[in-house]
Amino acid sequence: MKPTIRNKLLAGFGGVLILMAIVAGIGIYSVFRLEKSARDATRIGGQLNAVALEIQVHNLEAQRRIKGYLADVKTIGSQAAHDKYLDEADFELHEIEVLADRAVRIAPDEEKRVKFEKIASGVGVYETALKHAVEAAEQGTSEAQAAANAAYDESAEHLHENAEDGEAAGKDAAQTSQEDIVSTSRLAVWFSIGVSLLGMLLGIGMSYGLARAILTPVDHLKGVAENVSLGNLDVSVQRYSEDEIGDLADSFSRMLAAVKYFQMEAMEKSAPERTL
Amino acid sequence: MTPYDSVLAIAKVFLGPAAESFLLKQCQVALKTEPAKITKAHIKDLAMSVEIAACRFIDRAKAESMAKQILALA
Repeated sequence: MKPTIRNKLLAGFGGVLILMAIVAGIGIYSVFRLEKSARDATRIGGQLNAVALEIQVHNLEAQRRIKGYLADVKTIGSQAAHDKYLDEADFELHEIEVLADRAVRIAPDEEKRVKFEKIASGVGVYETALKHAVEAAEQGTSEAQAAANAAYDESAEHLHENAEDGEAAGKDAAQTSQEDIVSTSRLAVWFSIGVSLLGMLLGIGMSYGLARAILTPVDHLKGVAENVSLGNLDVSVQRYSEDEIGDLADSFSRMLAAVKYFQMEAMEKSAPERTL
Repeated sequence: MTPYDSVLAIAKVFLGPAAESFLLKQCQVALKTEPAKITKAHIKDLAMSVEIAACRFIDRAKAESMAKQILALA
C-alpha cells in the first residue's frame, strides 16, 4: 500500500479507533467482571450466612426435642417418646449434617471451611452421646443416666458452640463479600484510569507522529517557495516522503528547474546584445 | 515512439516544461543534428551532454539520474 497522506490519515485514525475500541472493551470487561465478582461474593456470603443460621435453627430444635424425650421417656414410655421426639430429632440432625457439608463446599476460605467441618464432625459426636443417653434413659441406672446425660449435655453444648462459630463465619463471609466488592471496584477504577492514560499517551504519540510526517515536508516546501518568491533559485527541493507531498515536491522541483533553465537561456540570449 | 520521444519523456520528469527546449539545444549544439534524426547510436553522447548541461541548473544527483535513464535506452 502506497504511503499517501490519505492512507497515513486512514491508518492513524484507524489506529486511534482500534485503540479506543480496545480501551472500551477493557472497560466493559472490567465492569462485567466486577459485576460477576460482586454477584459471586454476595451469593456465597449470603448463602453461607443463611446455611449457618439454618444449622443453628435445626440444632436448637434437635436439642429441644431431645430434652423433651429425656424428660418424658419415663412417663409416656420408650416407644411413644421415641415416636414423639427422636424421629424429629434424627431428622434435624440429618439436616445439620447436610447443611454443614454444603457449607464446607461453598466456604470461600480455609478458616471458614474448618468451622463448618467442626459442625459436621460435632454432629457425629452428638449422635453418639445421644445414643448413650437414650440407652441409659431406657435401661440404665440413675448413675448411668446421669453420666450419659452429662456427656450428652457436653456434646450438645459443644455442637451449639460450633454452630455459633458457623453463624459468625457466615456473617463474616457476608461482610467479606462486601469488602471484596469495594476492593474489586477500586481495582476496576484504577485499572480503567491506567488503561485510559495509556490510550491517551498512545493517541498523543500517534497524533504527534502523524503531524510530524505531514508538517516536516510541508515546512520544507514552504521554505523553498519563499526563497524562490524572493528570487533565490539556488535552493534544493528534497523529497521527504513517498506520498502526495513527495509528488508535490517533485512537481515543484521540475518547475524550479524550468524557471532556472529559462532564466539562464534568457541571460545567454541577452548577453551578446549587451556586449553589442 | 522514436528515440527522441523516449528521451523527452525522461527529461520531462526532471525538467518539466524546459525539457523540450533543453533537448533541442543539446541535439543541435552537442550532436549537431535535429531531434527527429536522433537514433540509438546518438543516445550515449546525448546522455553525456545532458548530464553536463543539466548540472548547471539542477542537482548533480538528479542530472546523473536523468543521464542514466537516457543511457538505458541505448
